[in-house]
Amino acid sequence: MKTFKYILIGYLITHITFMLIVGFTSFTGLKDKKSYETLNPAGQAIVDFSSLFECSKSVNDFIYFYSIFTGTNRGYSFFSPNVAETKVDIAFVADGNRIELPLLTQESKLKFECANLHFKSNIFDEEERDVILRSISSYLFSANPDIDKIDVYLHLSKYMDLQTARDLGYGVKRKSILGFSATKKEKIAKN
Amino acid sequence: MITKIESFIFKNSISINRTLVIKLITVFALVNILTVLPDVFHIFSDQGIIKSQVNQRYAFWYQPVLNWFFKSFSYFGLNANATLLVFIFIYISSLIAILLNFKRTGFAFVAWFIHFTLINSAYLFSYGADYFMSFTLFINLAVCSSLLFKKDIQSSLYSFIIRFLQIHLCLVYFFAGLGKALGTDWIDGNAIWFVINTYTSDSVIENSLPLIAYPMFFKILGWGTVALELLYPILMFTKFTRKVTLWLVVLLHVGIAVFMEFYTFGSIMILLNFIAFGQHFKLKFIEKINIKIKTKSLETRAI
Repeated sequence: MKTFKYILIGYLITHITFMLIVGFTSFTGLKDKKSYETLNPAGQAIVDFSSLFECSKSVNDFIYFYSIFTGTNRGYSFFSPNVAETKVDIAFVADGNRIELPLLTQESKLKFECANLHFKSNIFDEEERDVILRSISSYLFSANPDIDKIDVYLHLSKYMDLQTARDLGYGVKRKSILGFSATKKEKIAKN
Repeated sequence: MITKIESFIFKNSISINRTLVIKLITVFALVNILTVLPDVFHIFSDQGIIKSQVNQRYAFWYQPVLNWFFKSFSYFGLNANATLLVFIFIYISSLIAILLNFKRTGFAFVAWFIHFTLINSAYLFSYGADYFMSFTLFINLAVCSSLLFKKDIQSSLYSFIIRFLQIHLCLVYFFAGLGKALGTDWIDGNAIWFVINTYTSDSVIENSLPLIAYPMFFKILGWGTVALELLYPILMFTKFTRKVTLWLVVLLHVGIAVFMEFYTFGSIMILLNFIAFGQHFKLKFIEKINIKIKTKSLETRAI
């Protein structure tokens, strides 16, 4: 029994260590100049300190393997370090009409929003963007056989910060951009 | 020192009843799958909105995905959609079997494995709540597995699992708070303002407009969130602050669920907090359920 307890304590210590590494290394992505400038001085010091938790590839791979199986791999820094002031809605349009996705439940719609978020954050990665867009377009072409071309619009809403909203009154800057077009022959063009 | 650690981890005599924990997790997992059931083909199928082949680009070779099984099941004349339905059917049946106390450990493993396979197969559709669900099913598997051991070891093991969950939640909240403390938006109140604008409905935005005149309101909410998350490990392990912290955390997650419409995320975090620290709520109906389960268990043993 004693040995069994020691094994469990060892496992708990290992889990804590792994989670500390996963947690701190998730901040190292903020080291690039653009993100670093958005941090407060203490935040910059913590990001610098986080580098101490960087491990070799093999150790990282092992920790990732463990955290995937326990559902703890994605880190926990939600809505941080700052919150985006811009909202991007993606709309699929054919012949001037918006194509609604056939998702029925709120949870499924939220899941699709998460896929959209990934798409938006990789919008400048051509390969990534095209693979996702091609898949969604192909699905929409199958569901709507009479459509030959789909335009992907990005509806941007930029919100003013609290100070500006107080000084100038509440307002939202909206802009719609025709981002991409996809044809039935799986061709995707950037507009 | 070692004796103190041992006592802290293995002798947690007061906690939510194990059977109640298993049932709560199982019912939650059932509700969770029912919330996406009408759209399973759009999300998980190889002909879904985002094809499974695209989703699986993000999975490592060792992560089980539905594509592994599509080929094998095709030998039995089942196409990909039928295979997906078989998986969903087995998942729901496993959860029902756990609820009925039938081979709980085996079915807890099956439920965890299928859920894990589903989130790997729909990587782009998976978000925080799905990973917390996966973690919760892992905890459920651990709790069910503890029942395989001798009676005297069972309680120590269950105590270990609860401590494991408590410490894990402390790390989760600490990093959530630390991440927010790095930037400027949560300090000057803009984070709450931007969250309202980008994640809530038009009516919530409209109702919050008069509050622009009171920036301190947004600052207090921002500071409060960061402080609550960052100090969660200390506040939860301090006797005097534990109960109020628990209620504040519940309030935070109710707010996330109601205003941001992150229902699954909000409710699973409340569930995890309840399992880890629920005994400190001192809710009368929980005490009644605990007593009822204990009496039933004693009666079964007597028979």
